Parts: sequence; structure tokens; C-alpha cells
Amino acid sequence: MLLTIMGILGSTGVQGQVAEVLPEGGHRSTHEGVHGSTPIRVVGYGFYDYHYATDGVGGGALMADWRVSQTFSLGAGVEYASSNRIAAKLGGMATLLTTNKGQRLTLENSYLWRHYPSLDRQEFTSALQLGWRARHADLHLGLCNRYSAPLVQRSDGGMGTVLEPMNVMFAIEGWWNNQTIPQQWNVGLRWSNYHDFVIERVANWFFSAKGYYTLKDETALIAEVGVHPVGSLNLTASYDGWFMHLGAMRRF
Amino acid sequence: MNARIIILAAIALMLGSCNRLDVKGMFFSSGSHTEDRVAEWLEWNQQHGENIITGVPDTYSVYACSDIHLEGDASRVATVLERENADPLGQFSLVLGDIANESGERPFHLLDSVIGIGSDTCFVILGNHDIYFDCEQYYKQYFHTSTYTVTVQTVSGAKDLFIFLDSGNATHGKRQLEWLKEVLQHRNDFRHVVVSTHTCLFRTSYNYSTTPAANLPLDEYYQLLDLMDENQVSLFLMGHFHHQEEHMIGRVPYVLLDNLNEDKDTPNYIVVTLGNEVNYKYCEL
Repeated sequence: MLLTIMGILGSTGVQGQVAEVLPEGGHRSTHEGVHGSTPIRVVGYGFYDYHYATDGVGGGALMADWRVSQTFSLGAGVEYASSNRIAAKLGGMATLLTTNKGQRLTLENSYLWRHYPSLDRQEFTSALQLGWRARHADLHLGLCNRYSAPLVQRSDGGMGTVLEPMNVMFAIEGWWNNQTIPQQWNVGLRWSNYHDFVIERVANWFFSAKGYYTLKDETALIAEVGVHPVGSLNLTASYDGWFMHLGAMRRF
Repeated sequence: MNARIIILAAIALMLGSCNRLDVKGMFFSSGSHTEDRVAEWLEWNQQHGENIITGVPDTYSVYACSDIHLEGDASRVATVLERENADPLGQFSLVLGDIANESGERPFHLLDSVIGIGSDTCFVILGNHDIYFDCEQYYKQYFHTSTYTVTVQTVSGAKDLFIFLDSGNATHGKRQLEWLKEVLQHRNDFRHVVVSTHTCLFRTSYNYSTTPAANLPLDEYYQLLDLMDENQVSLFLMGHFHHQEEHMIGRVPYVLLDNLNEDKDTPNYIVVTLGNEVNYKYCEL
């Protein structure tokens, strides 16, 4: 709860610097796209994520964001992955600057909790990142710290907690159609070290292709498929796995 | 714009063609896949049998170093091996990967030649530097395997198990993790179990080496922590990040070894002493 309050305070703190009007709002998720006037957007998708060393998991994710004002939005989401983990996140995104071409500079503050019941671990990650959205590109760069702990504190040894104080997180996306104006469809490519419910170490990357297609009103189908090699920047990479998302988003 | 593209392309070409940096290998597998290598290591083990050292005192020491990155000569690692040989408790030494810094056979030949001088044994695993460019063939030629065990039998009948893993690609891979689980099923047969791998599991501190070097994927990292704790591994040794670091996760001490590069101002190694308990200390070279 404290983290959430900090996130809200942290993000609302930059509201005063914002003078421009957004074409859309929305807490950052990896599935963006449906433009509209209503303040609530819900994203749901099923996924399959295969890791070569640790096998695959299927599951689902549900996220919602609420455009509190033209320049600030809050978001929350939950993920369930079969036999492996559950995760939840909260966050806020403030728009610091919007240009007359629809480009915008954002600041996002988010908090992620991942829970591995079978492995006796849980982790908390807080993240702060800047984003730049242009007509055909999305760039994000930030830092996060990760605190992991066993679910049950040991009485026979160390606490078993690990703090990773500063991880770089980044995402580079390229979109086919101009994303600053409403489009019926769009497709893009993404290179990053994080996704909706995981922030990997900086050299563990996700390469994906994704897109959306607006059916009617403010409902769209979304899809993403990608790979995650391991050992990139270790001088030699290795195949690790792939993932696929399929779902829908709707504004209310 | 065209000029910028040409400059970037020229830089990429230069980086890709020099022997200090494998740009392509940063993004795509430039050597063999972890699975292929582990299959080869396990086949070699099957053909040549497990390493067993007998007649060892109930309390003995093992010297371990990592990231030796041989370029000029092998005097630093030779000093570690000599000290182990001179130590009455010393039984054998460990080199936990990154024998090479660049391409070529020379670093492997150098290490092999200094190991040959001493009377005690040295056990070696590979690191990420040892498989990029064409280094992997030389590692195989000189050291044959990087996924194996060494069983130490003491004079009073106690047995200790040393497990060596290949994490050159920043993953242990499916087959190797299965093999590790199979080996650890016999945990209760041993007094102590020491696990060694090259890639550091943690990203808790930062220096010139930690960024951009890679760690295991998070899911594998948590699975490995759980496996080590479940089996009460006595000590987990790592290299890769060129500094000292210690963690106690559950019941398992994790120790990051420093590097022995020629240009390292404060090179050091560790001495692990196995008796009723397992203790270790960092030692300056």
C-alpha cells in the first residue's frame, strides 16, 4: 500500500509541469493502441511463455487503466501463470510534454510483485522510466530495483533476501502506422528487457512483433509473438524461449 | 542521415572484424548451444568415468580462482596452483572459467602447461569468453568437459561432492538442470556438496564487468536458488563479474570469486576448507 501511495504521489508530483493535451491516456502496457474518449481501458489476454531450461507456462493477464486527467493515468493488472507464478502491478503515468505533432514525453512509476509459490520466492520491483512516443516509435528508458525474498522466512539460516539496487530497463518499439492518431490497425516490432509482468536483467531481452486490429467502436484484438534469447551481451547468446499473447482491449 | 548510417556501419564492421569483441555473438549464438555442449560433456564423462579422489584427510583445502583471462603469461594462476601444492591441506585447485580473453589456442595451452607443472590436480570449467569466436574447440581439446562431478573420499570414509556446471551462455540449459537434479538426488550420500559455475547468479552490485554482462533468466535463477536450498548445498561458487561478493540465501552460501587478470590491481582467489564444516576465505595473490 505504501508503495502504491508513493507511486501516486510520485506521478502526480509532475502533473504541474504539464500544459499540453493528450490525444489519449493510459497507463503504459505493452499493448497500446485503442484511442478514444472514455477514461477506462481494459486489456485482457491469454499467453503461453516457453523457457527452454524451465519449461513453458500458460496463463492469462488482465489490466485496466484509468485516465484520471488529460495528463495523468493510473493502472493496475494481475497475471496468473499455470503452476509457476502469479503477479500483480500498480502504476501511474504522467505526461510531461506533448508536441503539436502528437509526440509526448512521459514519466512512469510502477510497482510489480511476482510470487513463485513452488519455488518459495517472491519479488518486489519498483520502476521509474521516461518514455518518448513519436509517430512511428516508442522509446523507454528507466531504472528499477528488485527485492526478492523467500515466502517463508528461514529459522535455520540467512534471511535469503536479495536486493538488486539498480537495473536498467529499456524498450524500443517501431510502428508501421502513425500511432499518434487513431488507426484501425497497427503492427510494430519491439526490443526490450521487460514485459507487462516481468522486468528481466538488462541483458536478457525480448524481441517481439505485435499489433492490434479495431473491430468496432472501441474494441480491438491484440496479439504479440516474440522470442527471448539468453546470454545476449555475454559474448555469446543462446536460445531460451518464445512467448505469445492473444487477447482484446476495450474502452469503457 | 546517409553519412550517419555509413559511419555506424563502418563502426559495426570494425567491431565485428576485430578479435576483442564479438558483436554478432552478443545477439545470436556464435558458438554451440548450451544443450549441444552439455550433451558432449556428458558423453565424454560416460566414456571416461567419474573423477574420484581417495585417501584425502578429513579436513582438506581446495584453492579456487576465476576469470584468469590469460593474455601475456600464466604466472598469476601458476602462483595459485603453486600455493595449493605447497599447502599441506591443499588437495586440488579450481579454475572457474574465462581462461581466454580473445580468440586463439594460446590461453588454453598456457593454463594446461602450468597445471602440468604441479603435482596436484586442477579442475576447470568454461566461461563465456571460452566459447566465443573459435575458443570452444580449444577448451574441448585441453579440458574435455565442463559438466561433471568430482567425488572426494576421506580417510575416515566421508565423501564430498564437487559439481561443475557450464553456464557460458548465461543459462544452464534444460539437460544440464535435469542432470543436476539427478546428481543432487544422492545428496544424502555426501558430507558436503560444492557447486561451481561461471556466470554470477546475482546482479546486486555494479562495476565495468557487470554491465553489460549477462545473468541467468529470472525463472531459471529462482529455480536454481530453490534447488540449492532444497538440497542444502554447502557452498556455491561463481565468477564472471570480477569482484568479491557473498550472499547467504536460505542455508546456502553463495561466493563470487574475483578475477586474476594481469591488469587487476588486487588479484585474489579463495581457499575453501572442508572438514566438519565448510569455510572459505579470500586471499590476495
